[in-house]
Amino acid sequence: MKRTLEKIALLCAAGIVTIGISGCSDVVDLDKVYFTKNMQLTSQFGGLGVEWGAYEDTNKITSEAWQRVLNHVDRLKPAKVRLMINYDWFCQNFDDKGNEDRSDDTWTYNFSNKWMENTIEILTYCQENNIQVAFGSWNVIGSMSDDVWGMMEDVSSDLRWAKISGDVLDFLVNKKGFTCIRYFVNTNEPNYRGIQGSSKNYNNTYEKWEQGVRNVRQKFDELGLDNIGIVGGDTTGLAGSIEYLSGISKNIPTLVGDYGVHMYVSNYYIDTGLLEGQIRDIYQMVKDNDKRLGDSIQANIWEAGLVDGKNVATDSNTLIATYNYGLRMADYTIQCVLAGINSVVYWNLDDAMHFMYRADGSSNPKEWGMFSSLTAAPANKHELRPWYHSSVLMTNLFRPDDHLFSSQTNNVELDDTFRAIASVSHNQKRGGIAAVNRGIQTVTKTFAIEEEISDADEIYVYTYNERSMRLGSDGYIIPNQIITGSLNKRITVDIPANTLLVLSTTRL
Amino acid sequence: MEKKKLLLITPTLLALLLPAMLLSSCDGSAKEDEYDGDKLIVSLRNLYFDAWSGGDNYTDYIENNFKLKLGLSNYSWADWTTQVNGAINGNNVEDVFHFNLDSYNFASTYEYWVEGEIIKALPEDMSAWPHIQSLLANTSNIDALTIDGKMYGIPIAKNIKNPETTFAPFTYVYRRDWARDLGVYQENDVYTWEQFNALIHAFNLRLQNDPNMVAAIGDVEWGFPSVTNFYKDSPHCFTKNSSDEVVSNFHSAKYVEGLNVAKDMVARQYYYQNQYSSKDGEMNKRYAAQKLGILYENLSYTNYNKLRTDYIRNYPAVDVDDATAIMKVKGPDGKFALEGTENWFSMTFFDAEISDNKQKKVLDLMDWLLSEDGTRFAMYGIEGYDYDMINNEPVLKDVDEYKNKTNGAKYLRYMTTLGYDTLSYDPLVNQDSLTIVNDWTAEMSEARENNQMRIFEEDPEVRWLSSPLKNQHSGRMLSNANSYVTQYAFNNLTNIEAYYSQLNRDPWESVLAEINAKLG
Repeated sequence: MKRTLEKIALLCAAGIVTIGISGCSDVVDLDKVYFTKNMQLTSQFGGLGVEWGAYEDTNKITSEAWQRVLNHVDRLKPAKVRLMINYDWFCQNFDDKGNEDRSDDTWTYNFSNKWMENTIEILTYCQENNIQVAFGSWNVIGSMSDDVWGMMEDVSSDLRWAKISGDVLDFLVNKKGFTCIRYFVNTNEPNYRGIQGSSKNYNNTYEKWEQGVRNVRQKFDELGLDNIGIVGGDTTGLAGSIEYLSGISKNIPTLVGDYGVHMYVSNYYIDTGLLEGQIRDIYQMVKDNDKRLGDSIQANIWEAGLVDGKNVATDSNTLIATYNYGLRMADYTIQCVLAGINSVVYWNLDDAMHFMYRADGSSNPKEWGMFSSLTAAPANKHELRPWYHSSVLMTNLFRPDDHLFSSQTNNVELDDTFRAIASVSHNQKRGGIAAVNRGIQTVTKTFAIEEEISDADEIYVYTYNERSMRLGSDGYIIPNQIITGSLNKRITVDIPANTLLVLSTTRL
Repeated sequence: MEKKKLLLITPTLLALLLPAMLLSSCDGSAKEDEYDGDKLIVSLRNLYFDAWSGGDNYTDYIENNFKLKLGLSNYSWADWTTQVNGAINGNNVEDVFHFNLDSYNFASTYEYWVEGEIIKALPEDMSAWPHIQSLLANTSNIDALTIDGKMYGIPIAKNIKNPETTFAPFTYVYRRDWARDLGVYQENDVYTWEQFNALIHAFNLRLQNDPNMVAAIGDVEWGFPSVTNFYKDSPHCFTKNSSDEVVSNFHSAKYVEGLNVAKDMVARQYYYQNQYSSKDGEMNKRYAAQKLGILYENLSYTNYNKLRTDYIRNYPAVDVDDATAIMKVKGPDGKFALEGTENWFSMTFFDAEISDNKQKKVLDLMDWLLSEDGTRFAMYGIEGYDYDMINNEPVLKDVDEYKNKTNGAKYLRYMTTLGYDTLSYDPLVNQDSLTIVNDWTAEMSEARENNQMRIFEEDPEVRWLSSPLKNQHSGRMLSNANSYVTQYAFNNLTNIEAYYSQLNRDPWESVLAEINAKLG
């Protein structure tokens, strides 16, 4: 059945429309979404990315499935990848010499196992495709039941943490050549202490984490790993990150590579447009301490997801396969960008990466991915989920070093149901617009970008909602329409309710 | 190695510290109030927090409005007692914690904790919290929980709107479709004792032609042997004889008569032969896998709905109503028999070391959650976003979307009530399951009113009596007795004398003497 396409009216002008600022008038015409030069958000966007690996058990996927994973990543084209491992996978033959002095502890590394094989595979892909990687170990070494290392008291401030981190990064960067690793994660979510007896992080404090950063930075500098910045925080939750962001921005702003957090957000904050303001408040708090924010240092979201639908027992999201998940993640991204965030990394690529293990020996894959490559997963889970397709639109449209723009219509007080941002590439050869209509009615909006996009006379129109999304024979998203025109000229579009609209000067 | 840091008190720092200092506890409590901004940090631990870890906007709303920063954790059912005692013994109990208090652990926990100043009494004047006050006033046998005129926790009400329910939903679910096929079905699922036995016999014959079946009947692990319900006067250790003297239930003629019926059923292989070694939840799974014809279980709404949900998912071709019909059995005396129960289950406690201020703020939250506004928030979320008021009734905008949300308010409400009051209008409740459970409850209530039901329970004055030997021994006596019952039923104790002999290894005589002396 031929899909019904949304009506698009194209108003042609003789030349490029000059979009003037409204001047003395305070009235904003919400139907005119003009991205003017004075509404530039950034001239050095960091791009969008995804959490990819390392896979806890590659035995559970076939080589054919792995090829499909690579094809999907090809199409997704992430600018950043967060790749996390466990040091426990590689560190062996621990010997504490029978004393309390940790400086004489020894151990060896086994980098010849399936985990390093997978890590190298992913890093190879990232290196070849110019993807920046944030790399780290989830936790310190040791098992809850038999903690021979004794690292859980001092956590990352333990001097052995910096040594291991240095050794591993030295191996990967200096010896294997993976210069794509640009960020180091100094343990995952250090502010989430968990439950005593179950969490390796229970004894952590900001002070210990900060000392860990100092130790790691010194070690990295000794090894010539100057090009790797330490993620400033990697903490979870906006409110929960305040202590760390405040401490970092006051105490060690020059020792970190960015200000990074994880955010799993309730639908409510996204749907109502309130997320932008929440992020902006904390962004400003950091910027008050570190004036470089937004210029020589950026704020990034290193794990982005939604909390509604989360099943705590299985650590999966029951809504991950819904269209609305994709729409909300796009809206989430737009609000982050409006608030000053430079990169958003989506959690996550593939269900097959991580498992939830239980005391009775059972386990389940953590289903937060854009698909599953698990051999044992039912066929429908192998299919690309809707939010993969919406993410493809976003990641392909908003590239590193793009100039991003807002519009005066992005005002939650005036309209909390519509948001839009625009991009123009650094060389001004391509650009696009992403807009979300979160209302219950179709809206008609006229768009235009003031910054010139040269040699771009086609507009690819993508309409992402449950009724309209189009997939090609290869299973990937294709435009609903291709029209002749320029985004520097006014283009009027009807946007159905609950829709992500993407207009691009290039095929995404 | 961490260096100790010297704190330089600057005027700026003093200005920042002063409000926090002023807001700190001033009542001499050991745990000082700590703040996250303007929010008082409070740790909460509850069995029912297992599916929620905060982070939702509903929890944010509560934190912002009540100026609380909630630290949440839960217990596992199997380790609940160990986890509570471990925290208490390790002096790291949460500010507000949850424990499965019952009459058999009352002395070793509640009384002990009061004496050891481990738990904090509720304020004497609870008028600031009218909903909690009302809950307490309607708590069954509340006097037993009062020590020197004080309450040291909040009994978690099953149903604050209907506190009068006096029997537990421990009863039989069965395969009505099989009964029909075998010609032993009885109208409205009501069975006389003879008809019940005929049904079990017919199911046992069916077993020979159904390789999937393992037995006609099985009891939930803690409920074996359910058939004694139709004979005994008390569910646990103590009952009264005709002279109003407290005696051992497990030694009583009535109990032993019922026990012999169970032994006979085991011998005939009516009962699942590995009943005695089944672990938690296994019998339920067997019924859900069509391996049993009858299951004795706690048919709370939650358990019953899960059973039905499992059948719908796993056996869509089976009529779920017929597969999970609730059987109503009359005993040899021609009456239904159900276990008596308190109208509450488990209690919420406050750590004795928290400040009065912290306790007050938590009570404020609890009371609000019991109010009309709080209950609506817990059930429906945010007006205008999750629901609209239509004809004065909340109507969800998108039920399917709401079902997948986590509303922290609903979980927090479990600190004071199991929420049976909201089941009838909770948008996430399966009304088909609830209707069946409610119909059964109504029918049993009517039977009780018409003297068609026998409720067996320990006399409250015995149940909640605190005396040294009873406190010291009754928990172990109960546990041992249950073991001997199972051994006798499954012929590991081959005769009744052996059963009595085992029982008598425990100090029944001295415990009973003490109880009777204390009761006068």
